[in-house]
Amino acid sequence: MSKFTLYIIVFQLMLVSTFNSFAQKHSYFYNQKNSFAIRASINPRLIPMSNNRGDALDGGTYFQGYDKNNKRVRGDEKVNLMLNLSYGRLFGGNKIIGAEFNYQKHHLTVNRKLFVDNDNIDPDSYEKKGIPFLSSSPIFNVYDINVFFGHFKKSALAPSQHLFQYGFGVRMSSLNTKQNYRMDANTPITDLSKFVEGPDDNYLSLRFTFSYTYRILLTKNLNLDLGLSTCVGLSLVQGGLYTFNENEPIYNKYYIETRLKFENFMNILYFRSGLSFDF
Amino acid sequence: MAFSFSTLAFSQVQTLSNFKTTRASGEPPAVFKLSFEETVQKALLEITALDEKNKENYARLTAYHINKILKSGYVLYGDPMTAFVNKVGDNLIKNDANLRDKIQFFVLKNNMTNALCTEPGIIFITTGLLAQIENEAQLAYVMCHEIAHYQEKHLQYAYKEEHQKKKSKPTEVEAADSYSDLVMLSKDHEFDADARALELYYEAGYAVSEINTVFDVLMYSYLPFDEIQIGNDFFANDAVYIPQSYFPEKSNPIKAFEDYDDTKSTHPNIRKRKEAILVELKEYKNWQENIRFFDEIEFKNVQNMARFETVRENVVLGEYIEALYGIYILEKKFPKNEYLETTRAIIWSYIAQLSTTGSTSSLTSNSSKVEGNISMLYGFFKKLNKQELALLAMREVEDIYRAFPNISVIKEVREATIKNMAHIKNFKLSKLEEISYYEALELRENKDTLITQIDTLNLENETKYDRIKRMRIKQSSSQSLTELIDDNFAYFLLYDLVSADDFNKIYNDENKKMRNNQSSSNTTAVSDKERYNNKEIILMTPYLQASKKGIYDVEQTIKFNEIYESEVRKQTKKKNLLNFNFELNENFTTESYNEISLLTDYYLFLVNLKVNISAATFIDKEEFNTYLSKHDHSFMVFILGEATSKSFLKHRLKGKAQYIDITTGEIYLSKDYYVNYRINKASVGGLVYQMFSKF
Repeated sequence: MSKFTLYIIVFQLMLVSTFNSFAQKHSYFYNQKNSFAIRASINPRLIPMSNNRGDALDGGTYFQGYDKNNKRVRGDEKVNLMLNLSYGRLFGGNKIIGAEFNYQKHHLTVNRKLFVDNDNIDPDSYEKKGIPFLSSSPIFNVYDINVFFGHFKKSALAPSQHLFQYGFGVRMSSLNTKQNYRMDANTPITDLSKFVEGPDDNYLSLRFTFSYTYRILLTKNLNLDLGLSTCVGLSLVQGGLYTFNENEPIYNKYYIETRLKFENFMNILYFRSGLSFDF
Repeated sequence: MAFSFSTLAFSQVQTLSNFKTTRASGEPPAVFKLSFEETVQKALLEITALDEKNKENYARLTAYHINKILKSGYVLYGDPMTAFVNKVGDNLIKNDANLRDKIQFFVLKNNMTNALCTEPGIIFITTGLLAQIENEAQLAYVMCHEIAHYQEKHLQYAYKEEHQKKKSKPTEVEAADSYSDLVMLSKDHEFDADARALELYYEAGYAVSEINTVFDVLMYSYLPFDEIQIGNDFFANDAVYIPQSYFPEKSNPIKAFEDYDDTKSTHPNIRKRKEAILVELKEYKNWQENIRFFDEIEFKNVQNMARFETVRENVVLGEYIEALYGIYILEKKFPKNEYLETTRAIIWSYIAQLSTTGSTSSLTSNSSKVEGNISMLYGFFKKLNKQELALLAMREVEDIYRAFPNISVIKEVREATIKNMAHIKNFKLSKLEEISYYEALELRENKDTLITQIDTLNLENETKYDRIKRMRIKQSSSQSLTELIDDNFAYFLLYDLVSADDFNKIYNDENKKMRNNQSSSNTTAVSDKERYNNKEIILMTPYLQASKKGIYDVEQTIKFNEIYESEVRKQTKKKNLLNFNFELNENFTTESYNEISLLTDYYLFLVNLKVNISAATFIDKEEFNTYLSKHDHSFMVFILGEATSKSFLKHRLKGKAQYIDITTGEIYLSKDYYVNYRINKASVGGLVYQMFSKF
């Protein structure tokens, strides 16, 4: 006697049929149409790192400043760290539109060999007579405001798993004035206009971003996000070479502008991780 | 402990003249009230052939499935069929009280010809089997075979073998996608059970001759429960001409044979089983000749009841020709049976609806595969065009109505069928003849003689009936232009109905209504909010299944169900919801159980209905109306869910729900739910959330 479980047949019958369907309306995972995310992004500064070997002051990953005791300290900014906050609203089943706010602290970085005036060569010894560069690196507050459009992969109900985003926004950089900027250990900079040209200026640039985020479900509302973001700055300006002139600010406006634009352009790849809360 | 049906057997004495579908009755047996965990514990006590780890898995697997079957609403208790099966069971193992205590027999309402043995000692006999077997001895043999499976722990060994196979050659294992595959027994087990069954069967004193017939019953079980030729009496009215040319010249041959190739099957073929039994038989001498120990009337009653159930299930499952043939067979024994005739009227009304709103090809879609006498009917229905089908259906319904004018369901069905006629395409009532085909034939053949007779009539003495006769002759000879060929037979079908007042009134009203609807088709669409908000709902037991790499995964299936239940409980707090699943687990009552059975039937009826529900009559309409009068539920919700896991990272969980408007019978389908998550609170909760979000 064959051993079929009969109920299976009974229930299989239920699967074969045609039905009226509801008026088409999009459905979402737990009907979540809002997504709020807080993430941190890490940008490895690959191109500046490759510049560390050069002789020039420009384009490396080192920076220097002074601690509370006015002792010179040096750092190596191999990665940029960016904080992201974003809010998106879902529509059309798997699409999302929203805005993202980013913040990062950015040093204008230099090479390991901190000399200026390298072209000054001693005629006797033929050695370079560069002047040691002791002044602080300026620190900029960088704010990004992006609007983005994105879509979740259609293989699952949104918002879940695979998110692709395309963003466009403005990046604003301004000097962080609350730092212990010094010419050298003994000479504080009291007048920022001698430190940078136009200390109150805002530097603007445009950015396009493309991001991919893989969302790992933790609870029904909470996801751990792992992602990748590529940014393309609109400016293709090559970083201007540093020029040192006495009686002028240590960093002139042209240099700052071109450096910021260049670094903005070169900071292409960001690895992101964080939490998103959907409701 | 064995459940005794002896006292219940007489509490539900049912005669077939007032047959109603069989439901459970009386106090539910203890096994129905067990929770999943309790069933696991009970099963664990029975398992001796497995090691500790497999024991637990096997117990859970069995408990899960047995619970599903027991709570499906399709298992009967306290009914005459189950009572009889238990009586036979008592007799078979009367010498082993211990074994009798461990085994329970139930009848499962299902048209398959089958029996099933599961842990812990539960044996199901289907109504399909009861409808096919011919006597008590054959039933006894099948039961002995199942008892042997239980005694020999074949299921446990089958599970063990399957498990070992998977362990040793994981890549070569064929995907076993359901419980049925896991418990599929090997050829050795089948031979073994046949041999052991003989022992019991012999000891009980049944006749050896019936063993061979049991195998024939199995072999031909795909055919209807009897094979009789379709005669003219298939159509109720003798005055109606049904052209023989519409029937196929001969029926499709019956092709089943014993020695089919069983190399790819886990089951031996019938010939091998017969041969093996012959060898075993040599060990037994002095057979007794008993075909029965209980009154034959009792067996026949059970057999017929099962056959009535088979007809009913065929109607519910949309197998209309099978059902009509079943009724035809049964009416040979039960002429003018109210239940059968009502069912026949309902089926013909569906067929009428099909001819106007549905697809008539669905009626005969598997005609080439059908074997035996029933294939004549399939051929006949295939030959009819839509108009002929609609008119023939009207004829049949009308004749049934005339035989049972006081049965409200038939009256309602008749009205629906008349209304349906207004929807026949390219059709006008004026096409129909007012005399029957036979009369027309006779009148035309004798036209000249009759006209001479009329001309010589003394008109002064002409009676009213002479005048009618004269008018009709003239009609037939001059006004009626319908050629008397087989293709025109349908125009003569409603000869006596076409001028009836009530018929015309219903027809014309429907016609008018239809035209009004066409001119002002401003039906207001009901929004989802209006349709579902604050409605009371009944949640049916869901169908949830999990698989891993294509293989059915019982542990995950159980987990799926458990999380589903806890998530539904959260919803239950918020919603006005009756959950049958919980209801049965927590407070099992026969009343609730039968309500599930009724609602599941209603659901199956709806999903298999090939025509518009608004004009279709549910076969258990009266029972259903009683249910509706007691409850205030608006929707039935049935949830389907499937979780698949292809690798450590690749998971998928999808599901959908059907919402059945209980009063209108409309079925609405939810949007699909699909996520790429493993089974967990969030993913299953999401399914439940989405399925309930409408309410």
